[in-house]
Amino acid sequence: MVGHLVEALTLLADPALIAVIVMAALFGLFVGAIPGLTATMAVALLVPVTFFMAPLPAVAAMVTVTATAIFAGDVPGALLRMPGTPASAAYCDEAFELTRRGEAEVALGTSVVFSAIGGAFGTIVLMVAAPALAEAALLFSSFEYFWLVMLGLTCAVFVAPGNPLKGLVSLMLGLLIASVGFENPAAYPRFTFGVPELMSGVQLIPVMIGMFAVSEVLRFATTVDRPLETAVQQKIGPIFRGQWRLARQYPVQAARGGVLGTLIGALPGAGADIAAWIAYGIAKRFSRTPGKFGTGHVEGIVEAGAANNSALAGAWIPALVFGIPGDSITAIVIGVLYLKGLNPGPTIFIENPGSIYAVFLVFLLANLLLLPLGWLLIKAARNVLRVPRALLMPIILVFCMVGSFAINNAMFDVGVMLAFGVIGWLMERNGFPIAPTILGLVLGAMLEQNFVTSMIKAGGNPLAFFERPVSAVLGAATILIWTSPLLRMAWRRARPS
Amino acid sequence: MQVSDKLSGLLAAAFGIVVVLAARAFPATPGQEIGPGLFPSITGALLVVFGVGLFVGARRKREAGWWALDDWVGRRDARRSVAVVVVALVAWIALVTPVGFIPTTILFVIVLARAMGGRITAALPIAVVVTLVTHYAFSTLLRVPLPWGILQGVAW
Repeated sequence: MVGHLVEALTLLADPALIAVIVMAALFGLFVGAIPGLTATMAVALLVPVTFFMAPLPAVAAMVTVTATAIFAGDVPGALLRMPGTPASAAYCDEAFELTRRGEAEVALGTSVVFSAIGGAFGTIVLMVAAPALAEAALLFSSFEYFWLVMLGLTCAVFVAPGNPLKGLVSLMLGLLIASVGFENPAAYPRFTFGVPELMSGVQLIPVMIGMFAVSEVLRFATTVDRPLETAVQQKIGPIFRGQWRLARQYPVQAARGGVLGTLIGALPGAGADIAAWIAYGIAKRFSRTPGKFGTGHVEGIVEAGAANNSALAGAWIPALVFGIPGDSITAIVIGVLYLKGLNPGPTIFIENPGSIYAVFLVFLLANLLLLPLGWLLIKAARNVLRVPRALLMPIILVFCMVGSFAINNAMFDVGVMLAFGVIGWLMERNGFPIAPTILGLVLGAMLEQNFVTSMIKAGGNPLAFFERPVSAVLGAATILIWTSPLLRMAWRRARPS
Repeated sequence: MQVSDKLSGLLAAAFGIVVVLAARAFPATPGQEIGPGLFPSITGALLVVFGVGLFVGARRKREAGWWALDDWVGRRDARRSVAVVVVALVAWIALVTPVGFIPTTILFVIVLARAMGGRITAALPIAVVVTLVTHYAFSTLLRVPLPWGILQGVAW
């Protein structure tokens, strides 16, 4: 590992790479700070540009953008009571209460410091856990992969808040979109309707840009006549003052947030936003002063702020080791990794250890950069938040269109982007989560490949799916999650009140 | 638009049935039990199950109404800007190849910025700068063949 780290350090000592990282950090801070523009959208908009970069800078840019955008989402949360990204929603009110009491610097300082701590913590877990898991994963056959994908998709549906049936419908939609084209085990062109562009399937990137960026522009368009909130006009004091005292006061909260965030991030489909909600809830539950929550108490910001940044790194664990994304951001990253010839999977740690460790170091670097750049953003916050949306939204759409076009130089893909922008907007409006669709689209081919291979190997014997020990455990876990709502219902019936 | 769970459940189930019927028509792979239709058939069948589940659950909760319009439909500025986003995107797709990336995109940004309440004095310079910078980055630096259209003669 030390040898790989040295190799990674030499890869990192490239001024061009550092320049890419700093620029990506500024872009991430800007997008994250604008309410309505999410970290996922920042990554989706970045994809067309990374398309033309070498693998390492491309991945480094995406890592940096996510880390900085998730923190930047806290800034409008504290100043406008509007979360910049969904991951900041959990403690937005709390931060705003602090600002109202004239303690904006405490809210923002806590956000930036504990985001960096959480992010660094998650990265260290990633560095230790991923290579170890990869070694075990080398022994996996199609049965294990089939169940792993099933477990991932299952988590994506059942972890998300809301009606699981809607998550399931959303997932099936993604799987069906994935089955378009002739890239399936039988090489038969399915659902192409004679359209030549559909022969190679529906392109992932235009779908993502549509569902995560165009849908946000449409949502903004419905509120165009609402006045922009103006930031609280008060002086923000030195943000790092008193942070050391907070770290000494709440070490358990910071550590718990980091662990929780990494674990939830590693679950497919659940990312930084869910991690923050759960961490905030747990901080309140175990707090010595739960009554203070919601009145401008930093304890929840410490834990949830650490959790949402550590979730980002956690999401990379299944993404790198198995090619199963831990959240919608890593779903995009996996697409880019394939394009770059860095095929995710256990062998990546054998074939490209230098690059992978370099990516880990970029994670650490991005979280360290958060401290100075976060300070800069907070100083400039009032101006960033005043950028007129009426001019910003058309520019975002131009990037979306050019980005979708550039993937294959096909105007058809811009149409795909528009169609999925409208679909994503309608789905979100009606409580259908988007993440399962994206996960289904990313994992559909892998699921079908491993399913068909396993079925052929099994020769029609369904028990073969449970014969190997690891696949039996994974299969049992998956089935247990499916049946848990039924079991709970049966339990309630069996226990007469 | 707000679609009731009853209606979205029925739509999902109907879509699932169509998928299963279409997938059943796929030819079998010779010498192989599992053809290209199996996976979409399972997915489609599950879609029917979950759609019906959604419908039944909504019925049991006595969900009122089938669908309703959102409040923004009643507000003129919001309605117009949603329409402009969709129409401008369709128009851009249709016009960008014959007319060219630069004029179409400048027009696109101005129209959208105006519809969303931006001032023309700000929209015009921003449209020109954004279009030229994007064009330089993607066409010149990244070699994406953005269409020249009517400017073909003066292409740089």
